[in-house]
Amino acid sequence: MSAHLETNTGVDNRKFAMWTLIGSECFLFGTLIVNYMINRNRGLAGPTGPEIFNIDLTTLSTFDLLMSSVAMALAVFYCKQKRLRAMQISLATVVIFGLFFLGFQYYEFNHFVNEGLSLGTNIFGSSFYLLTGCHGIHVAIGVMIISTLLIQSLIKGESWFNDDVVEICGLYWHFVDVIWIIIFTVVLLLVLI
Amino acid sequence: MSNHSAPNTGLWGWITTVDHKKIAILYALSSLFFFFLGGVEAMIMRTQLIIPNNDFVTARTFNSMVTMHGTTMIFLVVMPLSSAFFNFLIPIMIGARDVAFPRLNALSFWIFFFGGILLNAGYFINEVPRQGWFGYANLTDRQYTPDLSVDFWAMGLQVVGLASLIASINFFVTIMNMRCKGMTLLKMPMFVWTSLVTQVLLFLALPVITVALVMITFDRHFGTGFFNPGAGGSVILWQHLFWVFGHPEVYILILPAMGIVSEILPTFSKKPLFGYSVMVYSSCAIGFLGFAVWAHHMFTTGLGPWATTFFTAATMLIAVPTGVKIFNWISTVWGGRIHFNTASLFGLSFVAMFTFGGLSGIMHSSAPIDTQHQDTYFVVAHFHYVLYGGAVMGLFGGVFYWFPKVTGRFLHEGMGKVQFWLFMIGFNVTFFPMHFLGVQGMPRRNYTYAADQGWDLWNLVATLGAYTTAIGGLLFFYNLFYSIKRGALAPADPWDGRTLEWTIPSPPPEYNFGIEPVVKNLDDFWHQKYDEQGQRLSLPAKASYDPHSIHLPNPSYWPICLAAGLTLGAAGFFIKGFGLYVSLLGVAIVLISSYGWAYEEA
Amino acid sequence: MAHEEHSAHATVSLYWIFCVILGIITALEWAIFKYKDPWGVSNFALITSLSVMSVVKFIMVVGWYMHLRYDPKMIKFVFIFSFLMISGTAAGLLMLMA
Repeated sequence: MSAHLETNTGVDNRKFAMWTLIGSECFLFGTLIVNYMINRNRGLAGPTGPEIFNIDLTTLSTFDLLMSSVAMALAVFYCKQKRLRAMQISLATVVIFGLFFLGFQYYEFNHFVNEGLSLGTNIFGSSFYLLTGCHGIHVAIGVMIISTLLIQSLIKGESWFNDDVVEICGLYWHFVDVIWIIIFTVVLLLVLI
Repeated sequence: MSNHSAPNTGLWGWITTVDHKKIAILYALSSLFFFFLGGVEAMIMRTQLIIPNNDFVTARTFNSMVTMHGTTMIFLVVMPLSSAFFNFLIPIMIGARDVAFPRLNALSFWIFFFGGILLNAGYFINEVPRQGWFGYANLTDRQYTPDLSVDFWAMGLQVVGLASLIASINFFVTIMNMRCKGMTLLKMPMFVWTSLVTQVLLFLALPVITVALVMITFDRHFGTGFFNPGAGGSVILWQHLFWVFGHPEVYILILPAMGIVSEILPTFSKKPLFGYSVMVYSSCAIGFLGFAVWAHHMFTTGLGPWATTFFTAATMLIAVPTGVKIFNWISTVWGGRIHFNTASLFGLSFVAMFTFGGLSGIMHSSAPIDTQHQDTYFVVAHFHYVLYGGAVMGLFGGVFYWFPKVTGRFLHEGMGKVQFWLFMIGFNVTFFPMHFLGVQGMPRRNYTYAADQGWDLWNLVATLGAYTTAIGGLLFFYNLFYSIKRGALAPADPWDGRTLEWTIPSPPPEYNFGIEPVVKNLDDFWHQKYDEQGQRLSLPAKASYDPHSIHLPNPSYWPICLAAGLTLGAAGFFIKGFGLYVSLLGVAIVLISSYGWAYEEA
Repeated sequence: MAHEEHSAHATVSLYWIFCVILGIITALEWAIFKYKDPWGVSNFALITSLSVMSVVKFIMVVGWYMHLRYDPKMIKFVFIFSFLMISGTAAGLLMLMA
């Protein structure tokens, strides 16, 4: 274990802070999701959900993020096991899956705009873009953080097994994935109701 | 490990400081500056209303004063002043050498500071926010406020909110993780408990207003219509989001003051806090229920019978833990040897004034009465009794109580008592008549009123009361300048205190505790000083230690850089023309500072 | 961290098993939605099954990948409390606004 002060809960301060941030982010995304649910049918012009959603692509995005979560969990595990190569491969996988996800999202947004749904077309679209855009920004930040970790470990090699940091960044990444699980279900379900 | 540098006291030392005590002083000074600003705004409003049909200021200026007075007093005075107390007291009260993340702490302060400036920047170009501190849609819409005033407000609040969010996570982790040996959760001082609940409320409630403010910005600049019925949006949604945040916010403002009073009253009545554990549970209950009452601000929007019933009941319910606290404070001073000085007077006045405000609050929980009071001066009277008679009086009590600890000198008692009475009388003369004005139907926020509606006398009285308070405020500032240079020197334990901060010198050394304390009881210091019969014990001699062996975090200039970058990034959102470049510059600074931060040795 | 040493292998296998389960659930969600008409799935069954599957995925990621199951109770409390509070608030907002 890296040297940190003994804490009352036995958890590293940074890890505790990350969980607290995640608690806070629950409210951030909760508000955005509620906003989307309230506004899903409020389009006065332009297309709304059922006409425009591409479930195949959304499913693929979901699968992609879930797999990145698996890779992240493995990266944390290998870091604790001090298996450098395996950890680096896992981290690289996370980054690649993350970039794929961002690519899918770019494609999807582009597609929607071509279908005539831009940010200001109707309230449904605005809420949808706000929700998925905010999530996308989180993914982008995650990709940046994880690439930084990867580059660090590539430069410093065996001397770099910062397992607390990898674990904490992993928490962030998993949480972004969890949010997508909820968004996916909400989007699917609301097409039906 | 030993890189204990010489304390850096110049301007650069203050800019780069990560010491929680210095950051507390920075918070206190900035919030007092904003207190002055908010006070001037209040005086302009009251002067305008002194006689009917007055034309001291224009309607537009009056609206700006209403908006900025509310916003300033809540976000730039009470919250940061509470934050000053969190910063100074939480680590010392729990026996820690600093907060969990010293550099993040500095970052919070600088973000708050720049955010406060951004919020007030409209003054420089005469586009001061004027849509009300609650920013009800669709006054915030571009159609109704075409200039940049709303953007200053929305972006300023966004930035200030981020500061509070970072600080809340920091303090939450500090309290949870950094307590000294023996200090279990139920041995923490009451102030630490109410702070803990406040942090939870902060990090849960702030994201909601963040989203709502983003939606305003999108509505204004990116063509969405979330709050525009013409585009299918809803104005009521804003009210919901605002109050989902706004009601926990009310408890964010009052809980720290409750904690301060819970420290002051036991000390000056020489009795332990009555019903400590019940106080703890009440604080938690208030925090929990605080999330379930937001729609009582919206009874007149027509929530339907079930929702109205629910929120009426929940609001009445939240009065129970609050009432429990009031009875506990009364029982604390009951039969005690009360020592009346400025701090305890402020503390006692908190209990009285807060009870007043609480009672009119219970009246509002009933929807039919609330419907009558909505948007009248009765509501103004109510929340000033809670937030001024409550929070601000409590915070001033804290200032007088802990000033000797922070600076090593007492605030002047005589001036303090005069200030207290000016505040107390001025406050009641200002706001008590507002109850009458309210039930007589005077609407709030109006810049003037016609004569002979029965409002003339009470408005005159209220304004005179406000001037009285202003004199008290000026006296306080003089007292501050006077006492910091010439105040009587304070010993380590000037009030015969009960908590850990009184065990260390005044002002405390940079490392707080030479030897990390070990705690056995609640109010441990008291139990060290007195036995069960109240007989004074002799304190054991202080063990010696080597201050150079104590590792302290290094100062850092990255927090202020990161904060400046963030604020630039936010400001660029609405600067016409080259705004995008300003934002990009801000983002670049944020990125560089983040990496600089991450690779800096803490 | 009792499980750390003796079951390193078990942890990796668990992660991979979860990976497969997560993949299968996602495929199932997609299929059940895509072929709801030919398969004659009622709306009620669809909503229930999608919700349940989503909850299972949620618990798997939070509980195991995020390690919450093995974390001290204070951390569990922070997350679960936040999650329940926003769920309640969200439900309230939906009832009031929808």
